[in-house]
Amino acid sequence: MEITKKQIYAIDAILIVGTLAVLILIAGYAQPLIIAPINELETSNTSVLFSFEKGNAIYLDDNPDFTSPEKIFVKDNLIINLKPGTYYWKAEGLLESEVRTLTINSEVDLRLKDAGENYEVVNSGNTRLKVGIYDNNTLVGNVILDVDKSANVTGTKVVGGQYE
Amino acid sequence: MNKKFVLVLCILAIVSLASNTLALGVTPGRTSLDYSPGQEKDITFTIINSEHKEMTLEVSVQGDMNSSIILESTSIKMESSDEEKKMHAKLIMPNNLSPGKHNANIVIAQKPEKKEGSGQAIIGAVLAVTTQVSIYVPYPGKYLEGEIKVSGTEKNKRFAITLLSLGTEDIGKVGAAIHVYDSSGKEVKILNTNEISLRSSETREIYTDWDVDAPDGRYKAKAVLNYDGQEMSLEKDFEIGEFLLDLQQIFVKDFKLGGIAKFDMLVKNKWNEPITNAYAEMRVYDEQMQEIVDMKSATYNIPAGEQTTMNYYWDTKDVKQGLYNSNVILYYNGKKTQQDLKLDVGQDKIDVIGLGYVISSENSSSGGNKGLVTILIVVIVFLLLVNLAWFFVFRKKKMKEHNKS
Repeated sequence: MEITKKQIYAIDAILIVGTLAVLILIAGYAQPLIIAPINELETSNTSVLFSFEKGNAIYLDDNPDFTSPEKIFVKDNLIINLKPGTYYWKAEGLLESEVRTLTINSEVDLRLKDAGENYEVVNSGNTRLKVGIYDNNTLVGNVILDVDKSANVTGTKVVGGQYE
Repeated sequence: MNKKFVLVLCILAIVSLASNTLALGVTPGRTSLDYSPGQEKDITFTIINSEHKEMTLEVSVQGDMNSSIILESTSIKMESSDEEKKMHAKLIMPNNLSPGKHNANIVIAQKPEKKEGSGQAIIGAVLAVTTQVSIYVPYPGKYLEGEIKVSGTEKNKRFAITLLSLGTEDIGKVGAAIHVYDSSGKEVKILNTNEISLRSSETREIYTDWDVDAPDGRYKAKAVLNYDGQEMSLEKDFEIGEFLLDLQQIFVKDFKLGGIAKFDMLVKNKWNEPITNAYAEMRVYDEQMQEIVDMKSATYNIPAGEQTTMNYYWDTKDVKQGLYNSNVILYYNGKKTQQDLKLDVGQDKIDVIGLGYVISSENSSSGGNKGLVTILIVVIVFLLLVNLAWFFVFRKKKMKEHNKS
């Protein structure tokens, strides 16, 4: 069958465009689509919503090489409680998604309640605290408080900071 | 009148409760900076007014770098409508800091509240929170710190070592040999990690995997790191599997309804250490879930990895034929594991229903994924072949024909 040069070029174009279109479609279909959290999110909220489509697991690690990742099987949406720190994460479907980073900032949050003769001090932040108890500017003791834990203290000043 | 009085009382109670709590927060709790002498760094932190109270805060700096931090303001007024307030401070990195970690604390203190007119404090104590500023000054030469992390399942373990290069010089090559010891101190495995290079102040991981070929139990991983000819070691205790006395089988032999049923319960110590003073308890319930009998075995010592048959007895006088709910609890080393069962009591036999395992694939979706991946690969290969065939065979041929004509 005789075909013209024009027809040859047309076949070239159809093949190139068609192949590219199919490859783009495959890539779009196979790669998970990440919705949340946004890349480089910084928050002090330890409950993070991971939302994505076309994936069935997420990998979470504290280093970008993913040498010791935590693999969590999930469909679409999941809230994960994380400790303060920087995390790298990606979703896995047929292919892997881009790698995103996420930083949970530590939050020092103290509450002091009147408990009659002494005070109840509560760690309502997201990190372990070292709480110094002062009586007239003299340090009289330290209390290590885990998240959501409390202790009864007596003094005139209570100072809380992130524990090493 | 009464309703108004109750309402006023409620409001007073709420105000009183609210006043009896002080709350203050700051984020981040720590800002870590690399040391660069003489440079200025901006430090931003957010003060949180979680109780939405009007308060005046005093801000000050403490620690061995207090003279290097200049605060934007030393007093802040928080309104009740303020949920948080951002603050800035400037750090001028001091010269000639000694190697190691240096800290400064920015202290945010809440002044005690006063009752209007009375001058009396509601909460007499001062509440303060601190945000730390840490500078790490590198040690001269090569200096390495690390931490071992052990993850994975009882079939496969990964040993990852997080390495921090805290010296002034880069590290050309670092790798580790990981020696695994069982609870008796016997070496059961040696594994070698990959090798990497580390720049000064850089954090990276090296790792190795172990296809576990040892029984469940407690182990110790000792990593001997070699970095440019220098050695250091790290240790980490870890466990394979779960400390578990595994209930494998229960059976009753030579049984006649109305007589004494002797239960033989086969258990296996899956741990690599002996389990002492273990015993079993079995409770049987009627249709209304009322307990009919509570049986206990004697205590047993079970060597590591061994099986033992525990016995207990049930007097079946007045017991009717039928299906009974039951549970078995194993007590050992302060731990207990429970399994729910059914007992099918017949005239001359008792069948124990409910022991066994359902084995399922780890991830059933991965099979479907593999199928789709295969289809996609086939499509891509087909496209590749079509393109190759066209551009390198047919097109050339057609062009030749065309040129000839």
